[in-house]
Amino acid sequence: MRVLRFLAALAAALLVHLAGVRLWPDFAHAADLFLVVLVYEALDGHALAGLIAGVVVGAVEDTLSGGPFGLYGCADTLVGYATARLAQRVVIQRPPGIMLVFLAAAAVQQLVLGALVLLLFSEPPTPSPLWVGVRAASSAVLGLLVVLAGRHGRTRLDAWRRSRTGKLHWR
Amino acid sequence: MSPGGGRADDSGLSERRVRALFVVVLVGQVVALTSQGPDFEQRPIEGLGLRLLAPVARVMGAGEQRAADLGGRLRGRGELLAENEELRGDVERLRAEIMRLRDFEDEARRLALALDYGRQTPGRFLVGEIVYVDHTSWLRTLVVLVRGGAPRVNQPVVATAGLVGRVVTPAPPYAKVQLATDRAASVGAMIERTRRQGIVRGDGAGGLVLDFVPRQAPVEVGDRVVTAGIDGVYPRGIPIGTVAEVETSGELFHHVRLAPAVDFGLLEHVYLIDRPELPPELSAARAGARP
Repeated sequence: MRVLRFLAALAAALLVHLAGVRLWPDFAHAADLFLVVLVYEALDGHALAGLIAGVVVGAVEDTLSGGPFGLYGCADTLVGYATARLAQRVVIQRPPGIMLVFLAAAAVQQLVLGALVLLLFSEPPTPSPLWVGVRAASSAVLGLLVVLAGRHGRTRLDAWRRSRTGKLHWR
Repeated sequence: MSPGGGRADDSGLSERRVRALFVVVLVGQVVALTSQGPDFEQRPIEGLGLRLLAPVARVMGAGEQRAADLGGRLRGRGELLAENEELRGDVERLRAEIMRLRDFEDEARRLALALDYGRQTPGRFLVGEIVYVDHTSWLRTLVVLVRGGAPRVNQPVVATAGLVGRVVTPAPPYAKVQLATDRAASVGAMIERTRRQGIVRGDGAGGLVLDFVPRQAPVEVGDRVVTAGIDGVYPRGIPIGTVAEVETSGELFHHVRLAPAVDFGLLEHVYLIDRPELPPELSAARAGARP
């Protein structure tokens, strides 16, 4: 069930990303929906799931970007695993904490990408600091919205299940 | 507590084993990343990813086109008539231009025959429909659907306005293209007016830079820069850009900025040049060579 949920979220992120890039050329600069999906999955606190999600999300991002294949794979694997381990040790429930996790994940991802690019290229391309900041901020906001929407959805689903169970019990 | 030591998560693996798996996976990815050759040998996983994701991008593009067509159908009759008239004028003008150019072509052919001059044939063109383009990110890319043939590594990609880039990952019928404005891209080029050669590189910010033009060589703003045909990838004569800025400092070479000939934000179709490949002995001599 978790796997299906993750794949559905990834597919939704892909569709929104493709539509966004067509409507606004700087969309890929400004928002990383795949990172939001990854961190949301990793916040469950399952290290193996975070690791595998990082590998899958990284492969998708590598396919949709230039440069050597594997840049995003390395960065997202690290982010997915680290986020899951953090979620095992720290309770992250309040909005500021959630936003901080997404912000930090985006910053770490860009740092790892930058370090790898410095290693691989003699004249490395560099991201614009402004867009790195925009991307981190948008990840924080989107991540918070996704987490709150997920919680709301779960609450409604639990209430619906309870009401169904109640009806069956009465029979 | 699981047999491997440490708390177990839902998968039944202990913390220690998951940590070990993480290290193995990360090290494997870094090794695979650093072992990729400079000539972008085919990457099976990337090819698989392209074949899975590119059709989705294509469907999105088709949906957008249908919506645009629907919008077009709703336009007023007067607007359509005016556009029709304008297009008729364009067609007539282009017909006259073609006739004029045919005369020039015949004359050039006669002169070449008289001089016994071997003309370089550019090869045939494969049409590439753009399914995904990201030309603004620092790791920019272009994915095309190729019709009429299978794409190959290092195949030049052009638009009607000029050079777009080269194929780096073929996954028939799709191909990923390295844009000329990519920081890692380099093209053997020459200034059309003076025939002075240099190397054009992407500046990573959507522009181009022409390097290795000596200070004593004349370069003016407005000079057209075309491919020189010296790098074994691009044929000669493809427009790359126009000189936009020339800085002459105390160094040996000019620092020349170019405005790209192609507007990557307006691309809908590109063309892959299907030329015979270099003989193996020449390819081996060129492999690993860097400007």
